[in-house]
Amino acid sequence: MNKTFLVMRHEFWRHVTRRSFIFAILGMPTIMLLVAGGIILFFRGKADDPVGVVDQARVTMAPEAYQKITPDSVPFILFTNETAARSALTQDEIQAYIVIPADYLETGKVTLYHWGNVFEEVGSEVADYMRASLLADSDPALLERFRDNELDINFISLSPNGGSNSVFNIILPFIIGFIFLISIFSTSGFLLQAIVDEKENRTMEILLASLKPSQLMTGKILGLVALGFVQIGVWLGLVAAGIAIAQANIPQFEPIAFSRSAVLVAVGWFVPFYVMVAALITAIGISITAVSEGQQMVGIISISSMFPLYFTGLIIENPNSALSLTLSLIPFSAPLTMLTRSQITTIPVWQYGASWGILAGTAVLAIFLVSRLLQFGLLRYGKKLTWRETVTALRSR
Amino acid sequence: MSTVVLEHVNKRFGKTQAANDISFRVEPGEILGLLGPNGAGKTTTIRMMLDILRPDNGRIAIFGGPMTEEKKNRIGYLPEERGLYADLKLMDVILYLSSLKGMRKETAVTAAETFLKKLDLWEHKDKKMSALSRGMHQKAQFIVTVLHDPDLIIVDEPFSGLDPVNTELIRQMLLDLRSQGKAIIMSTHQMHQVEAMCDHIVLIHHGKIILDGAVDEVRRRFAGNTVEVSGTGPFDQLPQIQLAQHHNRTWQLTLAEDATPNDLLRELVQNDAITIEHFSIALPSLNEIFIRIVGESD
Repeated sequence: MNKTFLVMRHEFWRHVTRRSFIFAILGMPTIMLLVAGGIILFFRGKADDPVGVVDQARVTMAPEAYQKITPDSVPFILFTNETAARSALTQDEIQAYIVIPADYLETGKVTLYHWGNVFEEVGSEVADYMRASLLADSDPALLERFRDNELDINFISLSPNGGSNSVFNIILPFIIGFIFLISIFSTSGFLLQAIVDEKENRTMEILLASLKPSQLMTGKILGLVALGFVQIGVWLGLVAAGIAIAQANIPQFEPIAFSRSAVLVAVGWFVPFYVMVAALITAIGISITAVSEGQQMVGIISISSMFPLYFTGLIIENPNSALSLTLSLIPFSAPLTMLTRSQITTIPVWQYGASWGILAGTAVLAIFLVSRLLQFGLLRYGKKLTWRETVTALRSR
Repeated sequence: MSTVVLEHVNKRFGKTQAANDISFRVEPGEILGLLGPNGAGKTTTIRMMLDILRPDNGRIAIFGGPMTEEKKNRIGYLPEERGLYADLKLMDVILYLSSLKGMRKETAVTAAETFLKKLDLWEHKDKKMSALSRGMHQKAQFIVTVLHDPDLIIVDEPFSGLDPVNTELIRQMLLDLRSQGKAIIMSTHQMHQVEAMCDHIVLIHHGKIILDGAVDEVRRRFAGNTVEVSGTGPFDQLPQIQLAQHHNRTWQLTLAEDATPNDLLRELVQNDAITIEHFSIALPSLNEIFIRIVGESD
C-alpha cells in the first residue's frame, strides 16, 4: 500500500478518536445551541406574556377583537387604572403595560412601563395595536390589508449580473468561511503537537528510515485535511439543519440561495488553503522545541487568513474592485474573499484561474520546502532553528 | 556483496565538519561497532546511510547501490532517545510502523505475537505506550526494529534502560540475527558489549575515523609491552621486567624497553625457580583503548 496513504490514514484515525477532537467537533455546536436555545426560550416566554393597557384617551379597540384579526400578536389586557396595571406587573402577570394619556390624539405619545429587561419587539406589538385601534372603524378591506401588512415586492433584475440578495445570503459565505478557518486552525493544533513530539522523541527518524520526507509530510497534511473536513462536514451539516428548521418554523426566514460557484470556491479553495496552512504549521513544528513557542507564529497565520474580514464592507460594496482582486490573489486571503465575491457577483474566469493557481502553487511549494526543512530540523532536537539556519536548510540539498 | 559501503564521505553543517572522509564497510553476518564520544558524528553517519541526510560528497552504497524505497524496507533502525506515540496502544504502534516497512497486516500480527511473547510484552499489547516502563519501551522499539526481518539492522544504544536479564535477551537476539547473516551496526558506549559482540569497530572523533579494524586485531595493536603470567616464582625479580603487578594470582608484567615477550618466555622456561601455569600477551580493554585514543586526539 502506498506509504503516503498509510501515514494519512494513521494521522486521521489517531486524531479523530482523540477526546479533545470529539469535544471540539460536538462541543462547540452544543454550546452554541444551548446558548441560542436559552436566549430564545427566555425571550419567547417573556414575549408571549400579555401587555397591559391603561387607556385614558379611550381610543383602543377591545383586545378580544384585536386578537381575532391578529391571532399571532401578544395578548392585550385592559386595566381601569395604573395602580391595577402596576400590581399585575409586579405579580408577573403581564410583561409590561402602556399608559395612553388623555391627550394622545394630540401628542401621539404613549408610555410603556416594564420590570427589568423587556423584549424589544413589544414596542412594535404596541404600535400595531394602536394602528389597528385607530383604523377600527374603517373599511373592513383596509383592515384586512393592515392585518396582512407584509409588503410583497417582486425583484426583477434587468442586468445579466444582477440579483437580489438578502443580508443573510451575503453574510452566509463569511459564516461558511469562518467555519473553515476555525476548523483549520483548531485541527492544526493537533498537527503542531504531533510534529513537535515526533521530532523531540525521534519517532520522526524512525519514520524517515522507512519513507521519504515528502511522503511523510504529504501523508500527515492530507490526514489533517481529512480530519478538518470531517469537522467541517459535521458543522456545516448542523448549520444546514438549523437553516432547514428555521425555514420550516419561521415564515419570515427567506430561502437560502447559495450559488454553485460559491460551493465550488468553498471546496476548491479551502482544500489547497488547508494544505498550505498545514505545511506552514509543520514548518513551525520543526523549528521549535515546545508547542507554546509556536503559538505566536500560528496566531500570525490565522490573523492573516482573517484579513478579508477587515474589508468586508468594501468587498460587498464593490466585489470587482482592485482591492477585491488583490485580496483574491493573495493566498492567505483568497478563500474568504473569493467565497464572498462568488456569492454576490460574477467573477471573470481568469480571476478564478489566477487565484486558485497561485494558492495551489503556494501549497505545493510549501510542502516541498517543509520536506527540505525537515531533514535539517531533525538534527536540532532540543534546539530552535534560527532564521539563518532555516534559510540554509531551504537552500541546501 | 557488502551490505554497506561508505567511501570518502563528507558532510558539513555550517562551520562544523560532521563527517570527514568517512570510509568503512559492513558485511553480511557481521556486527560493526560504531563508536565515538558524544557529538563525534556517529548519528550523522547513520543518517547518511539511511538517506535521511545526503553527504556533501563521497559514495554510499546500501545493498550494492543507492538507497531506494524497497531497500528501506530491508533496514531496521533503532535510534537513541526514542519515545514513540505515547497516546497509542503498543500493538497499534507496532502494526503502523511495520506497515511502513511494507509488511502485510496479517504477517505483522503473527510476527508481533512471537516477539511480544519472547520479550514478555504480550500481556501489555493493548496498553498505551505512555503506560509502559522505559525498559518496556526499549523492548517495544527493538521489536519494531527487527519485526520485518531486515537484512541491515542499525541500533543506537540498544541496551539503554534494560535490566541485566533483558540486556542478555536482546544481546542474544542480536547475535542470533548475526548468525542468520544479517549485517548489524551497533552504536553504544557500553564497551564490554562491543568487546563481546562486535567483529569490527570504527571509532569516530570530530567527524573523522581515528580507529578502524577487527576487535581482536585492534586490541593486539594496542597491547604494548605487557604480559599476563600465572604460576609461582620470583616474577618481579627478572631482568626483562620493568614493572610487576600482582592481582588475583596473576602477574601483569611490563617489559623493559629492550625486552620482548619471546625473551621473557625463554627466561621463564629456563628459570628453575619458576613454574608457569599461564602465559599470554596482556590485551587492553576497548574501554582503555577508547579513553586513550580519544584523549590523545583531543
